[in-house]
Amino acid sequence: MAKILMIDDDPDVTLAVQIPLESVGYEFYSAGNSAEGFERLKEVNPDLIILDVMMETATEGFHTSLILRDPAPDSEYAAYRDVPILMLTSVHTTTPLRFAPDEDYLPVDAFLEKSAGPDEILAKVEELLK
Amino acid sequence: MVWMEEIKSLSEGKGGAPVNDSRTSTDAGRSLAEQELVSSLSWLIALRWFAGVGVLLGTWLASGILNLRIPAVPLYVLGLGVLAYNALFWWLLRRLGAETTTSNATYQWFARFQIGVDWLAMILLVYLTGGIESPTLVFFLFHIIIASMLLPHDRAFLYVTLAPIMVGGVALLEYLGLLPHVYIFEPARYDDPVYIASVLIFFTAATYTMAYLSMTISRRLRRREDELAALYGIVQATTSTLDLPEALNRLAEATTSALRCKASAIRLLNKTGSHLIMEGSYGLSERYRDKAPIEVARARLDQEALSGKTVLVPDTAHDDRLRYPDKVGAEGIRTILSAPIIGKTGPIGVLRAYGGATHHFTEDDAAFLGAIAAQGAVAIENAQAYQMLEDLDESKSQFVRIVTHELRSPVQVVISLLNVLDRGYVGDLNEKQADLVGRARRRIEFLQTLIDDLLDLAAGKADVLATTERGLVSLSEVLGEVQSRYEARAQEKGLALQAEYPDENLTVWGDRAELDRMLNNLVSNAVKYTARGEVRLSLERNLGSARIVVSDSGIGIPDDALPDLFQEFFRAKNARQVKESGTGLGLSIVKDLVERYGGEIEVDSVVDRGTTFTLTLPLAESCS
Repeated sequence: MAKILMIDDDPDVTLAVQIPLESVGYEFYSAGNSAEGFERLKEVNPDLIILDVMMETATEGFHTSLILRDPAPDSEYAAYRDVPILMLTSVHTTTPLRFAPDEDYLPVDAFLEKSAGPDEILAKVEELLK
Repeated sequence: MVWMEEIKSLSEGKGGAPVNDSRTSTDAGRSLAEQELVSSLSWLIALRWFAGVGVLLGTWLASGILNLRIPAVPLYVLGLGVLAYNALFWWLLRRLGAETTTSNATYQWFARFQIGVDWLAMILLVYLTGGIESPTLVFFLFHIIIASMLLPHDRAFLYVTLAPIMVGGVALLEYLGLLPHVYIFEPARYDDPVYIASVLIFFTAATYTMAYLSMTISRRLRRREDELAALYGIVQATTSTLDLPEALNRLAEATTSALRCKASAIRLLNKTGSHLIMEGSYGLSERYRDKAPIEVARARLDQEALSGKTVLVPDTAHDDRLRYPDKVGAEGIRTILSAPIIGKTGPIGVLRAYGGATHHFTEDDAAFLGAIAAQGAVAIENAQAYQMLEDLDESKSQFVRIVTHELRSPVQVVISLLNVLDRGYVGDLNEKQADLVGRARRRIEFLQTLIDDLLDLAAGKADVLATTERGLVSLSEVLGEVQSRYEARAQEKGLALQAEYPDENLTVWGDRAELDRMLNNLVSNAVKYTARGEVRLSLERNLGSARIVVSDSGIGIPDDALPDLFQEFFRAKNARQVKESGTGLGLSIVKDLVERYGGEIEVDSVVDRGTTFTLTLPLAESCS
């Protein structure tokens, strides 16, 4: 079964995602911040990364995704460039931070609101792993 | 007198931005109009010295050289008399000027009195030089010009009318033999060289005096015009920006060019009023700009200025009011003119003009700097008010961001965790457990809606135009999306959800999400508060606007609830009795949005019969 790495500083959010994913058999790994996430990335070599937007800073997740998808040939994470990224947000539509997946700007594959139900998360994960 | 009125109206605030009373005073509490009058009065006194001496010289010339039979002694007395009363006027004007309480009316009265005395002297001169035959008659013209300069229109005409009456009176008295005629000329005069010479002399004198008077007047007019233009430029420069440092720098630059001086600086009082801090400047070196703030308690010059006076330092090398004359000298500053910047509640700072040569500034410059400072005060206060608003706005946005993250995130996490429980990912729940989880979830979902609504409202009010994507939005499309969103819900409740769309594509300039929110809230309410019957939507053109009608056959809105309907958190009693939850923010969001789109919303409702909301939005075509 596919391996999923979740990078999120909120253990409750992690748990809410972990339970449904594990219940259907995914191997689930988690990291509490980006630095730990990059470490675990190499250990786990996941098939999918779930990333939180706001961690220590409001846009830490964005920066993490940019590093992961760095197109430079000598990028440290070149091997993981094609791992799909699902970004979890709690960014409300009326705040200045208003994003949708954008090839040039934000190299992630899908966005999902944190309040999304477990079924929705499962469906999204399945779609990205196809 | 046009320029005087212009300046008067400007200082009274008719001409430009509103200026309050305390700002009209520039120099020792005197208005510009008064200053103009005072300077005209001193000009008149200066002229009169020449007039007095002219009478004496003319008498000597006519009786001594031309041997005219004029009453020399009374004319000498008249000439001396003119000089004597002029000396008195000169002394009086100085005394009036020294008293700060002298009112405009006093100056007006003084002007009228002087003119009255002048005219008496003039008619005496006419009588003593031949009455109706007098070659000095033409001199009345100068007095008429002076009177029309110094006096208001109606008064000037009164004096002008007086001139022929006085001359005619003298002629009549002489004609009737009541006043002895003064003979100067024999009857035949064209071949009398003395007559010709005297007429020519008086004519020449009159032409030169006339030319001098009109040149003086036009020069003064031109200078006022220049000042007005400069002042207008300053108003433009300072009010075209609401950025305070920018406004202050522009004010300094405009001051420097208007006074043709070396540099200018604006220092504003700090909050406690203890220090003056340089906030804007032009033409000063960086080193000079970066000088420490001025401690008001130790700066005599600034104390004087802050007390409301325009202060002149004619020569910076010899003025003990300066604390660091060497630094001022090193900057190349030889003279300083300071004017107070007086705001609505008192002095807020000092405007200084620096000259590169001693005695660069005149009295007029002082008055003018005062006028600039008054104008600057308006611009500064406007910019300050705007800055305060911006700060408030920023803290509001900050609040919105905090609420977003700090309030919304935990709520979302709770919902996610409850969902995990509810969906049985950690094992099936028994009936009681499921019921409890369900209750908790409904509560927390309500809380999330409330937070989202609050955020919408706060964001909407905080940044009107900050929406990211504005463009042409088709109302049919938006209404169609909203309709299909509620179709399932309506079907569940057994309601007919019908809509009528126009053939044409009605578009509005705006943000699709906002328009969606607007219509969504109305349709959502209609479906929510209608138990049976129908919900009808319609969209149609009404001249340059789109009319959107959302009507239902629901519970209706009681009359007493209608006035508060759009209030935040308001929910009508019968709405609260309906089982479904609501935050009471939906309609205030709609109203807020509709107003921002320049539209209107009307409501029409009968309890138990239904409600109709009619929305009017300006179409994109009529906005362009």
